[in-house]
Amino acid sequence: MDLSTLAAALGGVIWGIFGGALPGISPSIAMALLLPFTYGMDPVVAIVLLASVYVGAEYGGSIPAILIRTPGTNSAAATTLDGYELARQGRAGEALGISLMSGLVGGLFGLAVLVLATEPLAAVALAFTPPAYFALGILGLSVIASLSGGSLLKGLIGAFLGLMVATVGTDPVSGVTRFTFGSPELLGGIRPILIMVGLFAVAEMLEQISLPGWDKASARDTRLKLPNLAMWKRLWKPQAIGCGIGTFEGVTPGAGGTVAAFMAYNEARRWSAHPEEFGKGSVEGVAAPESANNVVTATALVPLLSLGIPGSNSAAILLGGFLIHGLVPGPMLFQKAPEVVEGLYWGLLAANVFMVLVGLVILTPCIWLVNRPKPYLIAFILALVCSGVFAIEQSLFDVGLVLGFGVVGYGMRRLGVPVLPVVLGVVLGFLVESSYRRSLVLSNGEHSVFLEDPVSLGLLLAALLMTAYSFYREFWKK
Amino acid sequence: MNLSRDTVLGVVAVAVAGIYWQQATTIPQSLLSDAVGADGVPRMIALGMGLSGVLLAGRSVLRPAAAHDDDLPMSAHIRAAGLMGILVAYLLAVPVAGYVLSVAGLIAAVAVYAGGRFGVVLVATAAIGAVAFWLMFKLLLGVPMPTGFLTWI
Repeated sequence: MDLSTLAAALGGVIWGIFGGALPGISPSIAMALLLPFTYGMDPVVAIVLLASVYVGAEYGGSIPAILIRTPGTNSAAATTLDGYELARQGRAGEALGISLMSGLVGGLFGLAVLVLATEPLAAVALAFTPPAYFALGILGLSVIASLSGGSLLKGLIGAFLGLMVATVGTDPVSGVTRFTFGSPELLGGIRPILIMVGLFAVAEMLEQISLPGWDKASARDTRLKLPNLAMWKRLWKPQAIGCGIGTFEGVTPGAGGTVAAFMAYNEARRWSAHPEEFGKGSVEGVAAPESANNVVTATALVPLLSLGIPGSNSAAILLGGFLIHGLVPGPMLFQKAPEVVEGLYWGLLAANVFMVLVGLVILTPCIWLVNRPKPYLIAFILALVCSGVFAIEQSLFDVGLVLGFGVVGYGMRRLGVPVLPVVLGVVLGFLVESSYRRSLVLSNGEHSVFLEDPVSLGLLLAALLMTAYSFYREFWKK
Repeated sequence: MNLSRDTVLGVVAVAVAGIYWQQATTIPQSLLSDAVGADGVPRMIALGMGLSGVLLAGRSVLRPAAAHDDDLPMSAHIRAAGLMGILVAYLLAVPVAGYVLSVAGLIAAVAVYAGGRFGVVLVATAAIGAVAFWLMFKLLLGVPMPTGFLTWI
């Protein structure tokens, strides 16, 4: 690997962390902003640059999630749950250290999977038909109980609210408009990041302004703290769960890091020796989703490289990077341009190492920043949120939507409705509805199609078991 | 009558489900529509939301929970509403005054509202912050931020 490729990996990671940490700038937007600059570059350097942005951005999203309860990216939403609780307890440095190292573990595991198992795993992507996608979405929704904070009914209300928001816009099958109230801005639906920023960041600021105290961390706690050996022993299990789920979700086009992070969080809690700590500042609750969404940055490239299928927006931008340089991802890429594939592998390895090095440099200043006096902190967070949201589509309408969701989030807190089921509903709503209806179109309206497809049947049975267990815990055990 | 939080939430959920169902009935039918239709899934969601609301409200009436100790006083809600007022004012000011002036005003107003002392430090912080945000979004990310009457920016 030459110096220019290394420089691309470093620059990409820095840009990605910066973009990912800004609420509103998603990994795909951070990558798209750099895409025009890659025209004149060597193909390997260009691809490594874009892939490194992806790695950096997926990690960067966890920084504001932990420090200010604002997920910078969709997939960092699950990290807010315990990451922010740890920060409130003055353990922000510890949470960020766990997030950083879990991201490294996930990134390296995902890279190993990408290098060693691209060919066999490509078959998984091909096995996914519309019924299987529907079942995958239902399985994702079945983790609602874990995110409900002790009340399944409130979690369900939150999830239905999220599903309602997901139906706004153009119908995925017939193309008619739904719930747009004549507004052209709503034709494309509402981006999940707008809902998250409103429900998390704006609602948090509305609550903070109404509270008299401010939990300021002591100087001792404002430094980054990497996990020691005892902590690693506790983290290996949630990290392994995150790696397993992230691999499965990554190779499945369309699933993505958000679902992987939520499912990893749910399973880490189920298998933890300390499930009671989840939601109250569990270190395992940070490690599992962070491992999962960083695995996805590598395993999402499996269907792209082997089949030419971009499974996410970020993978689609990377596909654009390949096409700009006359490279067509697919089985022939490994024979026609093996040097590009090999360069990408080395570049991803370098990007993961640089992610840790950059994290070590920037995280302590980040903790210092969020320990500034409350009036200035609230002011700057709101200015950042309003600016970041505007930057997505240059739309003040979007900023207004975020403020509206902030009010909804504030009301939900007062009524004790958990926020994460809403996020899950918004993220999975489109996948569930479009797959459900496409399946029925293909089967002439026969619902048995969901039971005839073996992948769909397996996933639905898993979802049924998880849901039944949740209902048993909610209504019987109590 | 003092209603519990769960009762209120249950009633709100049923009301939201009702409004959403009513809106779903107004979705136009397309010739390209499938067996489920564009309104099919929204109706299922409305039913699920309504049922959850009924169950929650019913449970809270039959099995009342202990009073919550984290309820905020009305003054706290008014403070939150005041902050929202500042944010709405910012939203209205951006097209006229432009991004830099508006965001400087937002930072200063929120800082004062949150308890910061108005003075040179606060004004300078707001001004520097606004310019820093403008440089970051306009120059670094290439986002065309509104200029308002400061067209020379």
